[in-house]
Order: sequence, then C-alpha cells, then structure tokens
Amino acid sequence: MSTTSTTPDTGQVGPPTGGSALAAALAAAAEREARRYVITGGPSSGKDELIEAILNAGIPCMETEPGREIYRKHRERLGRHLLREDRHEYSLEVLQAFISEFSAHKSGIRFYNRGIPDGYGWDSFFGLGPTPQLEEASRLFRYDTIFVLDPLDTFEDPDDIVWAKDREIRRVHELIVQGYYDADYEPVFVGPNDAAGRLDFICANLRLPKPSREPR
Amino acid sequence: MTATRAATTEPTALSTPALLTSPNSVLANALLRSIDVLRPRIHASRPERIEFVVGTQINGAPHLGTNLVQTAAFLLAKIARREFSIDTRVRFGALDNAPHEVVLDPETHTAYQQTYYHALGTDGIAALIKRYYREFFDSLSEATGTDYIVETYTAQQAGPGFRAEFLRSLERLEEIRWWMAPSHGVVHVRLPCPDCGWAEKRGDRTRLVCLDEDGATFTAACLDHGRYETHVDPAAPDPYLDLATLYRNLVKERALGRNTEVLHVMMKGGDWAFGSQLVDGALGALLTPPGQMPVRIFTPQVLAHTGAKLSKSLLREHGRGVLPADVEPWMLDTTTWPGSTDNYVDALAWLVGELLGDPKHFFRSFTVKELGRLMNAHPADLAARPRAYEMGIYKRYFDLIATGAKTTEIRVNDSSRAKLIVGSLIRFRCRDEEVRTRVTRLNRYPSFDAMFDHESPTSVNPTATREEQLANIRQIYPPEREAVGVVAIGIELVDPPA
Repeated sequence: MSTTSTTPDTGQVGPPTGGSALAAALAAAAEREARRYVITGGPSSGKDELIEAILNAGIPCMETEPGREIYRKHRERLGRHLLREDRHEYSLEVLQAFISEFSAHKSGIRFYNRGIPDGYGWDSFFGLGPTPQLEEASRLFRYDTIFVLDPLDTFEDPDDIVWAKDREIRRVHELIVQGYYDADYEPVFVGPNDAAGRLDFICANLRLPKPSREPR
Repeated sequence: MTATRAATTEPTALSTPALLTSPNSVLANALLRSIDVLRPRIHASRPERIEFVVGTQINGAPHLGTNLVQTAAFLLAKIARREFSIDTRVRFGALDNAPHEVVLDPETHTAYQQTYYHALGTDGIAALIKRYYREFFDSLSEATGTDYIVETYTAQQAGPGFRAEFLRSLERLEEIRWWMAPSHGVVHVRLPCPDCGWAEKRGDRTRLVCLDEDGATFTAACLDHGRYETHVDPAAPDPYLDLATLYRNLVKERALGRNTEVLHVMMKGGDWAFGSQLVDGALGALLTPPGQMPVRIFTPQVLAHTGAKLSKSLLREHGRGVLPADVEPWMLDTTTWPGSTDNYVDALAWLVGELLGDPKHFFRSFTVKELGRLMNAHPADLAARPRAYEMGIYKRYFDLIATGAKTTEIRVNDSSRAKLIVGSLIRFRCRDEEVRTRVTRLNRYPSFDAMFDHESPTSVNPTATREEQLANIRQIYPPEREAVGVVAIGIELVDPPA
C-alpha cells in the first residue's frame, strides 16, 4: 500500500523545468540518442508503485502496460476472461503495441512498463511457444537495460500455508526472467525495497542523480 | 481428617524431578512462579479484570501446539485469579479472516483472496468454531472454573476502537511501515471489493488516497469489478478491514491497551517471540505509553525432532518423515484423540499444569515426541477423578474444612463462581494438601455485612467472632472486589472423617 495523497500528479510527465540535478541530466539526455530501460517482474513485485515513483520524479515513462487495455478489450468482446486458445491473437496485439511504443521514442531517456521479451514468459506460462513475430521483434528492437524487480513477498502465508496459486506467481516471475535471458539480455535485478529506494538504485545504476536527494 | 497429599500441580521447583528436567534460562531464573511474569504490570495498573487473549486461525483442525496455547490461557487465568485476587477470563479470538480461497487475476496474475468469513458467512463461522473448539473450551472452562468469550476477527475489526486505532496508525504510516514490512516498507492492507468480497491478497494496487478527520479513503482493484473506492469511517462497521498479520496485531494490541480497567494478556506460541520485536518497534513509533504496551506470554513451542515448528504444512511439504514414527495422529489433529473431550482436556490441563509448575518447564520448547511422552505420563487415575472446582485457601481455614468444622465458605461472587451449583465438587488446596467437598447450598449477597446478617458466623469459622471474621475477610478482599457481591457456599466433606 502506498499513499498518493501527497503526490497528486501521477499522469504522464515530461522532464520538469526546475533546476534540479536530475532534471538537468534528463534535459541533457533528451538531446542525445534514445535510451530505453525496461521495468519488469512478476506479480507482487511492486512494479506499479515503482512506475508511479518514476513518473513522480519527472522521468519519462510508459504509464500503463499496453497489455491491460488490450486484455480488457478482448474480454469485453468474448464476454469472459481469456483462455489459452485466445492468447495467440492477444499476444500479437500486445506485441504490436510494444513495437509502436518502442518506435515512437526517438531521443532521450524513457522507461518502459514491461518490454517486448515479457511475451516469452507469458506465452510460456500458458504453454505456448514464442511466435515468429516475437522472435523477430526481440531481435530488432533492443532495450538498453532491463531491470527485473524481485518479488516483495515470500508467497507463503504466516501460518505456513502455501497456496497453489501463489506458486504460479513465482512461476510467472521466473518465466519472465528466463524470457529476457532467451532474448539475450543480462537483466539487472532490483532487490526488495520501497519504490523510492528502488528508483535510487536504478538511477545510480544508470549514472543519473538520485531522486531522493533532489530538493523538495 | 481426609486431607491428602495432592499429585502436585503447585509451583514448587522440586515438584516433578523425575518427570521433567529443564535447564535454567534468563526469564525462568528471574521468576519463582510462572505467573510472576505478570506481577509487575498488575502492580502498576491494578486492573479490575485480567483477560487472557488467545487468537487462532480456524482454517482446520487444531494440532497439539494450538490446544497447548489455549489450555495455558485457561490455566493461567485460574492461577492469576487466585494469585492476584482479580477476576479473570479467557477471550478467544477466532481469526475468520484467514484465506479460504486464493485465485489469480487472469489479466495481471495478481493474487486475490476470499476470507473464511466472506466464503462461509456468520453461520458458517459459528459452525466451524463449534466443530473444532466449543466442546473443548466448555470442558476447559469447567475444569478451570474460568469463563470465556469468543470473538471473531470480523466482529473485532468492525468495532469503533479497532477502526480508530487503524486510522491513527495511518497518520504515522511513514514511521511504522518499515517495522511492519522490514524488507521493503510496503504494508499490505486488504479492503475487499464491496460487490463480491474478494480482495487483493497483497494489496498491490491498493492506495491510500485521502486521510483526514473523516477517515481514510482507499482505492483498490477487483479482478471482476475493476477499480473501486472505499472509505474507512471510525464510526461505521464497513468496509471490511483485513490487515496482514503484523499490522493486525499492532492495531489489536494498541486498541486493547487503551482499556485501563481490563489488563489484556496476549497468549502466543513461542515462535511469536521473534515477530513481536517488529510489533514493539511499531508500538514505539506510535509513541505508545509504557502503561499501554501489551503484556504477552509466550507458550512452549512444539517442535519436530529437527527443531522445526510443528506445522501441518511442514508435513504436507515433506511428509511424515519429518516427524518420529511414534508421533500419534491426535497430535496433528487433536479431534482424533482416542477418548472423550473431557478426558483429553484433563490430560492436557494436567500436562500444562506441570509445565506451569516451574518457569523453567514453561518458558522453553518441547519436541512433539517429548510432549507425547509427558501426556502419557499423567497419573493413572486421572480419568477417574471427578471434575471439581479448585480453591486455594489459608492453612487455618483449610484445617477447619478438613475436620468438618467449617461448613460455609465465603468468596466474592466473580465469574468463576457463576457456574457453581448445588452438588458441585470443590477441591480446597493449601500447598500440597487438598480436601474435597460438595456444595450443599449457595446464597448470594451484596456485601459481607449482608451475608453475616443471614449466615451463621460459626459455620464460617467457629473460632472467631463476626467482627473478627469481617476484619479478616476484608484483609483478603479489598472494597472493589467486595463490590461485585458475595457468595456463601455451603459445603460438606465428600469423605468425612471416620
């Protein structure tokens, strides 16, 4: 749970105009070639909160996963949740959205809420092999750094119960990570921390000023 | 004279050397009796009542460790009543917010859960409590002369005290969140969807969007009904507030600590000693006054021979190989005890009484095999012993009862006397002597004066005048204890002197 009462602006944000070190670094980067960084991880890895923190820090970022909107569209059309046989069409549409996002970005730093190789993990979870389109896109559209968020939970209940469904969450996470290795990436793993701490870690990794040290 | 040497459960250090050997420990070394662990707080707060609070997940049949904590609560209530002359009872918290089912959102694979309460409803929860605990508690209550109440988590979280405390904790969320979640500082709060009752298991998309004097507003997401907003008002019982374990304990202990008339003693399995450090850190961060810090008693952990805590999931994961072959089925599911509930309770109460008899025995852990050995070491005639209320008594009065000279016993009319009826047996104890009597009549009065207006002083004590007796009895019971009323208990010896 996070509080958003003190951070009302969570919309799409461009670099701030203030004179902070981070803003200056982002402005300088904006003039240079495109740098694309992926934030990914399984369910309950704290991804949504980190994306929120990135946006609040004024760093350009894709706000929502394109897959969510597409899923809802398919669900409305089908009148039910997607089944295995629906995944192929859905995956291709999600892939197209990721490619569009990738291609639209021409210069400067931008973070991505999941990336093209996430498709390997999700397809694999449903027992599907990667499509030729995914293989090709993974080869053509390369991100600069992949940040994988470690889960924020042990997926065990305090009274020792381990739910079968929770095991699936672990599996999704592991398959996503494997997907990036299969696509020939070396992900950077971001340990459990709150969103601010994780963003500092990521910025330090990218040689960007840490947002937590910015003047408020 | 029929006073007999009791098979002792009295707190004497040398009482059971052959049965049990325990090394000393820092806590045990500081105590002469196990109950003394409560004495500093009793002296400081002078409560009108002590409640021993024991919470249990109701998501399956209890194992030995669960029943051991509960039995310790009843026995300590009995001992504390005698030791501190303060009324006591047991408060059983049925944790009906345990997850009944978990599903994954097909879209995001975020886990959603439905609590037992939401799955079974009030009647279903009542049936579960009845199935696993009611008979056991009734028997324990009778065996220890201790009253008990059952409170579900659902009822607890709906109360204004719990909600107000939760809202206060939100004001200092920044200070407590690392105590509640030391690895990442992200606290889980579950606010089930108002349409279907399912909630995000880990509160991934739950956000606190507004906190002011009217309460707290959250947004969350449901797998079927999409995003929703919900408002926690201190005066309203809805929405359902399902807190993760540490946070739930923080709010519960803070809320109970505000009651200055009742001292709540948290009974917890020994493994909680580690987790309580985090709750204490959060209590400190909330600036909890010293007099409102929780009092906790940690009961012996029940361990497999590897040292792992006895748990059903341990068995499920690794099979029975983690336990010695001679671990009996009832230790894992106590409802399969090969005998009556009373028989089980008598054996367990005897065992826990032995452990409580020496702090060295109580404040330690036991392997399940060792506990099984101890359970089977109970006196051979235990099952044949009739249930009797126990009352401690000074030697000079004990001797009068044992000789048949004293035929009326006077007590304050607290909860432990409520179930006394004509024909009940009372076992009077003085150190390691005991004498059994039968209740012949019961008369209740508003005060000791009123009582002596109707009862013969010589039947109470043939060696003292009414005035002397009044002075003596008021040495024992202060005015606030007399204020609950007085009961005169007519008694006769079960085995009169030849």
